[in-house]
Amino acid sequence: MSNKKNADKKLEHALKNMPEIKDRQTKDDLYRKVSSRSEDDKTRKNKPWAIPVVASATVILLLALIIPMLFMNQQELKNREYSTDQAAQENSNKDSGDAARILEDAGEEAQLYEQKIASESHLVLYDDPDTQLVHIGVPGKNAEHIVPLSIIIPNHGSITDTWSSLRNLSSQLESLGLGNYPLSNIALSINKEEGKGTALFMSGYRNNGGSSADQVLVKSIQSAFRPYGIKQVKLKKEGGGPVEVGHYGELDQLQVEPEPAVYKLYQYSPNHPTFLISTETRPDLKIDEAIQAMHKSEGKLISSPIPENVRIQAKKIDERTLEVNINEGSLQQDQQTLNMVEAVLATAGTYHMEKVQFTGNDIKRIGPYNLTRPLDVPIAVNPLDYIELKK
Amino acid sequence: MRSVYERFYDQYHTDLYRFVFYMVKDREQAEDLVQDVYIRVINSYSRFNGESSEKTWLFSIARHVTIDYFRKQKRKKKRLMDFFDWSNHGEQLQDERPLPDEIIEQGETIREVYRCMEQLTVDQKSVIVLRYIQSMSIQETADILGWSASKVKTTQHRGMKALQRQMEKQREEEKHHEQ
Repeated sequence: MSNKKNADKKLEHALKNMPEIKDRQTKDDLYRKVSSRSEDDKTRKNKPWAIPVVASATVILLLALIIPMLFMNQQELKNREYSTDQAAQENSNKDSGDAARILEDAGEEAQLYEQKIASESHLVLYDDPDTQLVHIGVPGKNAEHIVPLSIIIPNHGSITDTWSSLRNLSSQLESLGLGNYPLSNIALSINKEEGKGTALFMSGYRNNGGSSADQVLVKSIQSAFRPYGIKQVKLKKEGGGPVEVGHYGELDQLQVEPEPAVYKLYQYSPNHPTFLISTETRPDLKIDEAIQAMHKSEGKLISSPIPENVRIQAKKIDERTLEVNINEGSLQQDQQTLNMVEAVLATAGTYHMEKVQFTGNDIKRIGPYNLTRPLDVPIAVNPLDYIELKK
Repeated sequence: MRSVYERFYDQYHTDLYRFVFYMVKDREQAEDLVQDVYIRVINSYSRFNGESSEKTWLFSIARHVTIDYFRKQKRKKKRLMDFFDWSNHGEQLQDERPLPDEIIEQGETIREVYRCMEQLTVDQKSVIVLRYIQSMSIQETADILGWSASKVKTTQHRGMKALQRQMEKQREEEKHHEQ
């Protein structure tokens, strides 16, 4: 037998005898994870910005139920007065007769509420083969920083067409507490295969918003193309001629570089959803400094994603992994902790980290994240369902 | 939901986990990915029309889940490549994960094969894992991959050749280091 045949046989034999690697998860554990993630996916896909509204409504309803009950119970303990309405009084006795039970139920409800509210995710963690993402950057109401949005459309949809239709959805975007849509008179198009992007400034485009409007415009275009890995965007004017972009002067192309960001939370009012917002960094800011910078709020609309009593510190374990230690304070099972974890993951992602390991925390899990393991950085932030957005 | 999960788990879980593990070669990642597979199975079981066997259907889902994972990894790697000059360090990125205990306990050839599998394309790896590690027939493999039997045979042949080449290369490198 030739050497080659011998080698082939040896290889086949080795492959057929590769050892069995056992899954360490038990059947029940795995089922629990599957069903919990399945529920999270459904919630996230349905209406991402509706969750805080629903959660707030739940709390109001809960308070509306508990406060009168407690009030009635106290009244009963004090003077056992009867109301004039016997039926109502019997009913109230029945309801308030077991205050402990009510409080216990309220505790369970509150716990459920916490679990529910802690599931408002601002990140896209996995590729979904049935959908694709259309990226765009919209300023906050203060028009300082950019909120990068990831619009979820079906896989067969067109990115260019979605960008076009977003020009007609500026009022919907504003209803989410975001600023003016900066690309109303600019048509973006992309050819992913060739790595090319174009921004066509239409005849209705007027440059009259001052230097901050110029910056917002440029950043918004860059945010739209950066996630696709486009390095350069051609700027064209309808009818020809150079494009005048305020203090940038005449431009025929725009460079799109990978840009480190410090993610914080943006919320226009308590009635509006929160978004992760990419705040400015110095180009030389290191990742550990960027994580430190996350502690600082900026004005009324942009707040630190780190809970008030918590201090965190980051250090690179290697080129791909960041360790984030909870130095002070403890994490709670709430939306604040989820926001912190997600803002850290998003920030680390812009520094080309792949994984983040949280250490020094008591809780093992928050939302979809298992904090005992290194977590993957997201593939995108601020997902919005296109169909829901159009409604 | 639970009954569908239990049925698939009881019948195929060992094979499913083995397939996903040898595709991604990372135990924790494989644990996460099998969760993805079951989520998709549960969500789309009502649309399963029985045209293929349940096993074929399950493994084609598992294959798509692993392909998504590789795409994501590729994108991350690309981002890294864009940021750093990896021309001198690219090789170090290949596979720094420690070998699982089960592999360490095996002989040198198995350890060598395991390491070299990293160099196969996703298609070659899928065929090699299904055909040899999972002991599936050419037709079963073709059904899972949605290919013709002849494409399976060609990919298998190329995959085995690539694996041999890689093993030879590694042996030569080791010899060179020893000298």
